[in-house]
Amino acid sequence: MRVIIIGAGKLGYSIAELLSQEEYDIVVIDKEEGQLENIKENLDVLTMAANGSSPITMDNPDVQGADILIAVTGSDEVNMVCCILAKKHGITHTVARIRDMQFMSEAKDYLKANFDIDLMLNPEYITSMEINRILMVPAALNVEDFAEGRVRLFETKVRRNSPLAGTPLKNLDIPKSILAAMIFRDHRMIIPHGDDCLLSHDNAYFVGEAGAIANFSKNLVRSDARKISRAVIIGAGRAGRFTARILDKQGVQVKIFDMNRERCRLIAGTLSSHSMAIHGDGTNIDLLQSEGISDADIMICMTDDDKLNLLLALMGRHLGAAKTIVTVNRYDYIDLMEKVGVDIVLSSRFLAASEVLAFVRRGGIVSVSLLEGAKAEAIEVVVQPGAKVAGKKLMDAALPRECLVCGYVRDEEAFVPNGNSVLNPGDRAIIIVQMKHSKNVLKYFQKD
Amino acid sequence: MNLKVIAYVLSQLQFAVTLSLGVPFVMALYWGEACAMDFAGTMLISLGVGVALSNYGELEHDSLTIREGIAVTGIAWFIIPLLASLPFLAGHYLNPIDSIFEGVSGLTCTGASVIKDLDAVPRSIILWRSITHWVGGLGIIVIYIAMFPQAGSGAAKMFNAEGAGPTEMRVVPRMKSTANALLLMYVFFSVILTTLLLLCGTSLFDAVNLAMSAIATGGFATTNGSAADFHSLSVELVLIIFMLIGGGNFGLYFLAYKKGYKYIIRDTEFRVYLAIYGVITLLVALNLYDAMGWQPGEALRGAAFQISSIMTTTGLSTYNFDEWPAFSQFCIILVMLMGGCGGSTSGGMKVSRVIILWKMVGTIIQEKLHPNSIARVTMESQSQSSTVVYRVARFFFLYVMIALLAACAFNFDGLPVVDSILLGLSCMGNAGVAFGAAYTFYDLPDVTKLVCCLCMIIGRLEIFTFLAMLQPGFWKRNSNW
Amino acid sequence: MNKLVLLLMGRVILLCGGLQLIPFCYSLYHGMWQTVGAFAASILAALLAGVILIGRGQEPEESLSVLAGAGFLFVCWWIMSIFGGLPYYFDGDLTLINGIFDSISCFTTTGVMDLPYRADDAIILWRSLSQWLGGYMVLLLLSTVLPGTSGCFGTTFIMPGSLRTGPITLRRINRTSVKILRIYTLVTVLGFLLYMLSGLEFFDGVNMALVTISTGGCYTPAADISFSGWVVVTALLGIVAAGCNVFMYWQALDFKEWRFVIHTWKNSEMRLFGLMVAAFTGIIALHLYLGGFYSLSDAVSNSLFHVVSFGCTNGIMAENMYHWDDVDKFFLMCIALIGGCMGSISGGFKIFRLQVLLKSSLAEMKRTLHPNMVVHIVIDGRTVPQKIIERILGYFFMFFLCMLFSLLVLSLTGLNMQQTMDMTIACLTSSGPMMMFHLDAQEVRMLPDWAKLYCSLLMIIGKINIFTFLLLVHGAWTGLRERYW
Repeated sequence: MRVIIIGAGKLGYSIAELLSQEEYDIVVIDKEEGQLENIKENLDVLTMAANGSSPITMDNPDVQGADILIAVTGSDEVNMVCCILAKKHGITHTVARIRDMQFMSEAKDYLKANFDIDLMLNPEYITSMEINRILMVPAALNVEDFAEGRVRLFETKVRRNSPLAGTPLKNLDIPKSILAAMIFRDHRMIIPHGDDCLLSHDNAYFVGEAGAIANFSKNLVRSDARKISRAVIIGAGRAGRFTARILDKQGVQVKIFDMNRERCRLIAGTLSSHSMAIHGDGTNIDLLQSEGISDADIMICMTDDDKLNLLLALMGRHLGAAKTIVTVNRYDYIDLMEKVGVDIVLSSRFLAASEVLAFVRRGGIVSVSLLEGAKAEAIEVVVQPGAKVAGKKLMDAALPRECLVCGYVRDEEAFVPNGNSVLNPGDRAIIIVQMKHSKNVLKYFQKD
Repeated sequence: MNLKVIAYVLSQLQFAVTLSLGVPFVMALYWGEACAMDFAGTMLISLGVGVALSNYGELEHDSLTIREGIAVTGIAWFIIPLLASLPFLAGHYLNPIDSIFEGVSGLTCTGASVIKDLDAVPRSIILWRSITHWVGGLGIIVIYIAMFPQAGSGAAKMFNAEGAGPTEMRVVPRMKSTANALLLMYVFFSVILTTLLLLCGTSLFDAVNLAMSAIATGGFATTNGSAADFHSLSVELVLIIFMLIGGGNFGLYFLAYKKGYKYIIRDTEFRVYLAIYGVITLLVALNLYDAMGWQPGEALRGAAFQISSIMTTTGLSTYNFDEWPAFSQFCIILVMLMGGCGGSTSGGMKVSRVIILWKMVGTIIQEKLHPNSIARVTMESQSQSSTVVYRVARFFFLYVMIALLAACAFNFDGLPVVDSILLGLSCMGNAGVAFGAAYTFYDLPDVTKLVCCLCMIIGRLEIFTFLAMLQPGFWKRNSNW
Repeated sequence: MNKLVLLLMGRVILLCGGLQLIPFCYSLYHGMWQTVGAFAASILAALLAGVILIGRGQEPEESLSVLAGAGFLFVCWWIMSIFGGLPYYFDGDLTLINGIFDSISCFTTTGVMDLPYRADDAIILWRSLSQWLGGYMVLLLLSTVLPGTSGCFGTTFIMPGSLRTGPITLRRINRTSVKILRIYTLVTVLGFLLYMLSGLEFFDGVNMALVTISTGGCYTPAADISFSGWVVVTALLGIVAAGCNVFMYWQALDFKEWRFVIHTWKNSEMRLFGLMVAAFTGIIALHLYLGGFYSLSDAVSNSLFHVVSFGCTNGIMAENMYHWDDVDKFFLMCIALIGGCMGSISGGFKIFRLQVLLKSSLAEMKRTLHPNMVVHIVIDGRTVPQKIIERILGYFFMFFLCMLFSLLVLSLTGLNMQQTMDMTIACLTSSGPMMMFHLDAQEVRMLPDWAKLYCSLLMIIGKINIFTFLLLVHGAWTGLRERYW
């Protein structure tokens, strides 16, 4: 399958990197030769220095007739033009990055219909929604929803005195509709079996029916941990503003800091009366203390600078914030940051790339979530008729060891499978699999 | 918000108040007056409150948050006037509402007295009134910071909360040294004024009381006729000079003392202050000469004293300006609204704020005529940020609004319109003068008196501090949110 | 001299003269020869001056600059009043200054007082007409010239977009003037019809309509209005209509959408206005009732009428009002100071500005605890830009300063404080009859000439807003400096 990526910026790079690992044919186009240097050297892709929004480029044999066009340049308008041109030149699917929040919220369907854009990417929007989702479940480090919310994946850190630690899984008191899907320990992904134990400092992933997960997560929550009521956000860029608005609407008291007065004013105009925008430097300890950082339930660091975000989160931790979230651009640091003490690290590029990946994969794949810095994936896939796994008992289907089927949805109902369960065509299966085996594993669920 | 820290600081303030109550107590014993017992009783109560607070409170950390600073200042300015009113109540000189009025009027340096006949009141009570002026003039907080060792950085928050003008003014680096410096100048001027008054022929008792009243720009006098009873040009001149000094920036004086007298001359605010004083005095004198037919010398003398007294919001008077023509009366309203310099003991809007507002109008005109230019308000060649400038403008709006609201209340209670407006402005500005029906405060209805007390405190604390305390979220215990 | 300004001035004079044809014909019809002569003379004078000025103003500039606009705003009231005051001068025994004083009070819709001497019906009609013309000029200037010169004090916030921006061109003035005339005449005719329906005679009806819709308020009808309920209601409606934002009507007509008029319920400014009227009526009615002046229902209706009348700075009064207590008069003074809605003919400080100030100051309170916070204000769902808030704060100071200064100046006439205050506020808020709270008509006549001129200046400032005047002063000052120093 051939994929064209227009725009060799950071997001373009991330997408190219992810897709090239999947062994697709990728062409990266950018106006500037310099931007392509990096990609040429590090990635196994074809690069072209050309203007992506020009019909001449579209006529190029390498580009014409491709399967997917992903337009991720810095300008929304250029992206939209690329998509129109693409469709007119026979490219079947288009993805465009649209940064403008207003387009996303108000003109979504119009754009889809008239500009022929199949998937609209807004990394800031995605990041904010992700943060929102995580925050609304108190004990979680990560939460993913599948099958329109019927099945939920829930990641939590096993604490030292947690009731889950130290006991073998088969003896743990976990409800029937929940499965311990994966353990992430010492940078390795472990698919647990009945004898494995959860140890402290593990990141444990549980998958199951949404309601059961909700109850389960509540029990894991410490008795004094409460729902988020006070949030501090540092950085009022697009993502920061959007996150502030979402949280504010749900009744959280938000304090958002930024050094730029205009940005403060922009966000101040949309907040309700229990939240406020503060004009000041987030690295100023006095300012943070006088504004009550020690009473904050969550501190979200969303400035443009990754290093600054890390510093702010650590400082916030030190001053007494209960939980810290950091957004980064480069996802190489995610591991390191989590080790150093940041609770949750999100990369907007990463999240955007996952959406693209899921889209590209298609063939019955409904959604993909990348876990643990792209080492593992949770995939929701529709079982095709004639697939290797259809109609057989799971233990007979000879699925590779590196994957686990954690749940499936049949006729609008969610089930947790065991070795004897049978998957029928049309069921939606949620599997967790290591990244490098994903393509292999997917073959089992798709037509031969 | 940490209640314990607040309680601790308050207890220290209480002890200071107890000490200051000791002075009239001792003097009462010395003069053999019966009210010594009243003072003793008040001292005991004050001591009791202090001990109770200090038992509850503990100094957990050195620095106060803004919220705590405001809370301390606000609560202090409620409790201490109440205590100050106890001697009046205990001796049955005044009913409860009147005592509170006298106490508040004393501490806020308003100087409006409800005592009908000062001659019938024991001298120690009169002394106590002047002491309340003296303590409240510089500020309860400032004296506390100066005298007690462990002030720390929380002190700055309390200092600002008490009201020191539009921008934070520090003369020397440390807060404590600033407070010390201010106290030093204050004592220095009080002593000099006392000596000068003695030289002019007043009795020691009168000299001390008048000095405390004038330097604190309070306005309580020792006799019923206020300063007029002295009939002495020299006394009036001395008082004029020292009232004007009291209306100036004490920090500036200290700066001049340390670094040279040219600082006073260079200071814009001080120059404008004196210039306005000069111009208005001349205008009023002309008006008196012209419309009332006074002699030029008498007109000038009367105008000079009255305008200096009202501009510095003192309130001592030599003539009954109720009879003056309308022009002079409006001039009086004008200077009362303006007040003294920032960082002085007087009330009102403060000259520096008026200057900022005036320049703000200039920048608006400038920006309208030349739309692409950016005009800035500069004071002392330092450009003021627009947040400061517009905070001053909002202060002005609130000031006028609160005065008008109070005036509505007074009016509804039965005072004529002009008198109630003036009373409202007078209380907000801590001037302590009034026209017409309110000229003698003791005739005012009770509700009016209570509203007056409230206005006096709001004006002294410069509005925002008081209003901040009214916010519902302010008193929530655990959060600094 | 700016040619465009000359042209406009000429037009205004012609308009003035043209309108005088109505009383001219009226007096001709009734055979009042002295008035006929007076009007004829003044119409001729207006014609002459108008034609000369228009002749001088041929091929004018494209648009009005800020200073030229301010100059025109200031000057047009003076010339209107002079040419409009000629009939009084030619006809009766008013001196020139008194004539100008009366005339300005009519044109600025202040409406100070009734002529104490015997006046013909035609003169009275002309007075009402001049108030009507004054109201029209206010609206016209509000929508054309004012936004460019000093609209930043809130006017531009409430205007529809098409009027807000762009230079002040002759074309635009022409278009807008016709449109506004249509709206204005429509409302006046409606008012007249309602008055006729409620039982007034023809002459009374015409005058009342002219005088209530223009917020002038200077007319004593032959019938005693306090006894006729329907007249009172009509008067109330007329006054309220005048006190509302004219741009509402504009949009309704423009887009043929009557929804905009229904929208007034949702407009926070209108709601605040309603709230204040209710509150003030309550307080005054209570006081009147407790003071034994009236029975309860009379107290309420009387106070409602007067509160609305002064709230929209109209000033029309029932006769028995003079005996009220000081308290009530003070509250009426307060509501006159607050003024009507932004974008209406009424004067005063304007409710919108008060709204912004209140919200802004209360938001500032929060900043005491959080010094770095950024505050914002939302009115009717729209964020108020920082610039407008700042300007309105400045405007409050200027307004107050102007009032204080005028108090000082007017007190030199020898009046006592209360009377001076009445006069100043009456002129500044263009709700003239307030002057009569503590003064007699005779006493007003006795004031020195310079005081009357100063009052005229104040009335004009009340209409064009103090900032325009300051602009002019500043412009003149720098102009002089450049030329002579």
